[in-house]
Amino acid sequence: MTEEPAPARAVVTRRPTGPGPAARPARVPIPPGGEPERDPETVRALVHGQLRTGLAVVGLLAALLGPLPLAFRSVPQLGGDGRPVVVWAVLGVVVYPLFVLLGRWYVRRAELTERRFNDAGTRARDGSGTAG
Amino acid sequence: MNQAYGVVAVTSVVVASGLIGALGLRISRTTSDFYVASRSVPPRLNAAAISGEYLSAASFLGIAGLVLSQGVDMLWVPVGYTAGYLVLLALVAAPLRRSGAYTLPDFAEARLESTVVRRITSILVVVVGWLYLVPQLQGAGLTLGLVTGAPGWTGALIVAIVVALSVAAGGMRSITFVQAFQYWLKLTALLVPALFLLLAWQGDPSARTALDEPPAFRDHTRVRVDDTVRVRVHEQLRVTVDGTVDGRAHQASVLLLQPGVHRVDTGTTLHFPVRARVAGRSEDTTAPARGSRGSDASPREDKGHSLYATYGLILATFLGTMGLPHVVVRFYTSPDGRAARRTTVVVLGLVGAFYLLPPLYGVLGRIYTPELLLTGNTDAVVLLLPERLIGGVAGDLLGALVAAGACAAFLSTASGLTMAVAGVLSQDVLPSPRTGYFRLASLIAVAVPLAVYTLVPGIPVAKAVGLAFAVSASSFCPLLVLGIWWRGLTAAGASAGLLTGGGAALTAVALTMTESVGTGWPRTLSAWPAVWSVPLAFLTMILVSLADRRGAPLHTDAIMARLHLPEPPANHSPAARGRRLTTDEDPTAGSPAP
Amino acid sequence: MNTLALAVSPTGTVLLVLCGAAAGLLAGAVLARRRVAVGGVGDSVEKATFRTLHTASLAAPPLRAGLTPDTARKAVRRLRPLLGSSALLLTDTDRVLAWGGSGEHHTDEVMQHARDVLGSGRAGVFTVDCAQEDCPVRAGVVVPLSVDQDLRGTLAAFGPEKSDALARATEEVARWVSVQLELAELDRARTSLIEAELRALRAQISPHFIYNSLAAIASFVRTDPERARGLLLEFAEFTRYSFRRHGDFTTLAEELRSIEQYLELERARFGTRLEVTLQIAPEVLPVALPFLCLQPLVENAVKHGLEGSARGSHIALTAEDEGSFARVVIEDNGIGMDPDRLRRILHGDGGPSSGIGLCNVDDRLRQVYGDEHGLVIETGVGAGMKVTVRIPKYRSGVHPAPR
Repeated sequence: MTEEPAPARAVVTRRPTGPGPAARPARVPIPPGGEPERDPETVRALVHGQLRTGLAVVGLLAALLGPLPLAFRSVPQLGGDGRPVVVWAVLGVVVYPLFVLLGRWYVRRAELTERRFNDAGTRARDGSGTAG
Repeated sequence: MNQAYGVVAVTSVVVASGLIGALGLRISRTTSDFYVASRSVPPRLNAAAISGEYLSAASFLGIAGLVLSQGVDMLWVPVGYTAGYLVLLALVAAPLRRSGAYTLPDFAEARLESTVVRRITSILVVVVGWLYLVPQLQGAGLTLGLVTGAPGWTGALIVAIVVALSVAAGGMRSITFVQAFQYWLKLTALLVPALFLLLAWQGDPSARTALDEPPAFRDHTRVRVDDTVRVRVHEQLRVTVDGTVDGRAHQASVLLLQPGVHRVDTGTTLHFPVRARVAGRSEDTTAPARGSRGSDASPREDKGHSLYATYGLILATFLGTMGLPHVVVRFYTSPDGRAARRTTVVVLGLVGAFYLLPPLYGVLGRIYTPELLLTGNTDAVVLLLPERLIGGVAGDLLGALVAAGACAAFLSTASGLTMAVAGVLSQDVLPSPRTGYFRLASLIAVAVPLAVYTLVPGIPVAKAVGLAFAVSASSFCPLLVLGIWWRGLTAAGASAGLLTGGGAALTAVALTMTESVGTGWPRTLSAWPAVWSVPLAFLTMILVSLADRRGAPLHTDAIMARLHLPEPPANHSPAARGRRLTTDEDPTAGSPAP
Repeated sequence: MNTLALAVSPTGTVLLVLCGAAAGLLAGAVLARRRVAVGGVGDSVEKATFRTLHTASLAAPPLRAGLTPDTARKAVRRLRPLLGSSALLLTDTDRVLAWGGSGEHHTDEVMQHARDVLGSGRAGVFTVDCAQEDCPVRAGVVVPLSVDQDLRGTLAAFGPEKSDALARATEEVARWVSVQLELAELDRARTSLIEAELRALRAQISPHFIYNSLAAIASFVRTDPERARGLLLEFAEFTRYSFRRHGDFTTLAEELRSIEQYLELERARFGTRLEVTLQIAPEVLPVALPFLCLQPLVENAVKHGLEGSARGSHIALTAEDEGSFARVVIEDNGIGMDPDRLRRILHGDGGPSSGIGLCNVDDRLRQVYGDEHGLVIETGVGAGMKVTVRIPKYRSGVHPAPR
């Protein structure tokens, strides 16, 4: 980025880093901090709420897809001649939009829970003022 | 396949990726677009990057191969690959991002404040990364072999060198844009030829066979067997043989093969009549080579096995995705937990859209390239179909496009994995982290899977990936899920669970890869370990943690709060910026200044 | 692997699974009980020494975090096997923090003795009356813990009978615990010193920069009111960030935003004489880093770039992704600096007014990430200056404070 040949530069660090055992990181124990103080009980309630939503999605997924391998096998005449077509359609096409829908539902629920939590937090912090 | 087109296609993918990687930084020269340059990656871009890195050779080549060789049951593979993101979204995405961890060892340390757990996680990450890299190299060997006609190992070697060099030299200064580009390339490379293939299939009156009919030769077909295979014949079959079958030499003689397993030696040419049902390659290499009693399991038991295998596959993929090293790393790019969640939903859409395509190739392969079942080279079906079905210059061009997509598939996943593995190697496994070690680490990260690939060839690509998923599901899944949702998890519990679950799954993988287990249930159990190893890992973690209640990390409350507390709503949105100044709370108001 | 080929039957596989489970459980048990397992029977002197030192090293980290019920519990668990007493406890000045071993029903009585010891400041030997036949807590010693002659609590050990050996050993352990607590205070003092420096850094930004910025803004009020308004808003945002009170860490994105505001204000003064190029890999924007550790470097570059340069100054800021690290480079084409003088500045003896900024940033980076993450500066007289920082994407304890 300099146009004319610039004078030479030298590399400077505070300590000349030569070979040696000096390269261990100095792990100063820093207590985790910086979080705004929240009552552990409210945090616990938030965690439980989110876990419920998460498990609902996973449970729904298991309930919808879990029995399918058994079903496809135990009912060979499922839909007569069309059996494979049904299987192809379900496993090849239908499940994918279903996943996206489940995912969107989850995100909506999880964000709602968080918004409520934040609102409760601001209400608790200042009775009437606006949040920054 | 037209070699000139193929070479041009593959080369241009490499060059384009390199250019995007080297120049893809956001550059701004005036302060007015400073803000644009320093804006975090939006969920859509990051989702494309995650999908690009995730859709590997196993997805691009392997799924079609499996559908071709094993039929409709194998549709569970792409379903599982996608559903894994739904589980990740529901149980892991936002808290993982909020933990601030870049890699899984980081997460283990952040949550459990223990260097021991960090170590164990690091080693498992490296092993899972390697397991996942082997099939990528295999896909590379296959693709480049078909494109250039070189033997498989040269392709793998070339890709290993390219990846190691680009990672070691830090050639990818901005990997997000490269990976996002490769997602769209992969989608295009399957979508465009698929449209042409469907048209060709529509116009072929003889090909409208039902999907579930056993594959059969449409014409008089000649198949040359390049290495000794055992084939399973389902019904009496009349073939003309030039070579050695079942240890007896034949010269252009007609042979009536009885149902059962037969051995066909290297260099043999078989001529099949029209509409002959295709004899499939027998997976079971230990079955007696001769005679009609090749079947070692009753049909009923067989059914049980495949049902178990399906559930094993489902568990491994649903729960294993969250622990894949190259996937975890990408979530760091999201600016916060909320963005991580939204990103995952977009990934679900992008990955799902992609997975609509490979099964199509598999089905068409059953109709048009059934001889692959006999040669066992089923992973090549995606690459061969355009030429077979369309032919001419159009077929060559489409074939080159597919080859470019395959190239993007193994390049993106291989470089992502190498980055992740090398990072962990240089930070946690090699002594004392220095800059130079990262180069060494990236060489090691590629060299080991390359060695494994040359020593243990011939595992179907998607199946080898399945093993990596199984190990991830039985070690990282419990670590992440329990770590995020259960405050009772202790370092001792996590270590025990990682060692038990990961160790058990790894043992099963080793047994499967070296083919040390015989037949029947032991073989099935070790080929699909997730069904028993995942519960085992969860149970061990929970029980040992309960027994070690006092070993809970010092700051569990603070850590749980960090993982789950939502970020305050951003007041830096572009609309708000510069237009209106929000009032700032005065922390000193009302209380004496500190 | 062939030795494992015996697993050809279902029972074989089940055995394999059980072996795996047993191995894992064993490993867990070992990890959980490692403190007891170190050493063995028939110790030689070396083994005993090793065991003692090992136990001490395990007990040190909790104590280095200060004396709380949680840390006391962990320390007591490690230390009791060392003394072999039936009960070992740590108290602060008014309650028992952790009781290891049996006889917990004596809590009140023992606390009474502890108060006596804290009152006198000298260790005392006590006997305890107990109605329970098998209670192993009969007699023991209570030793005060002090930091700088300041009594912080006591360490007490009890056994079935009076024992001089136990008393002496307990005093030694108490002395060791006191040293650990002293070190904990030192850590805290060091942290607060750095914080004080950071406050000084914030204060240092303000006076002339605030004056100059306001003067520049004022010059636009008539000619270009819209620009003046924009600058005023940038100024407000910049000061809000710089004077922020909570949290030691921020994200690269936030830091860049403040640099953007800073540069916008400087350009209001210097116009086209100040040219800036920015190259950012978006992957590294979420990296957490010490608050205000880049802005002073940019300020330095601006100062050096504009000093004595007629042709105008060019500053390039690059942030690249390097696997588990982010590499940030700030380069200017200004007057540069004599490397020896810079070395003196970095060692903190460059005289007054000579870039507390550089020195402070270097200090904080080294304190947080370790010595290999200090500033690397390439410069020479008239050769411009290039400052490189390598920041790990994750380091335990480094988390950006919420905005």
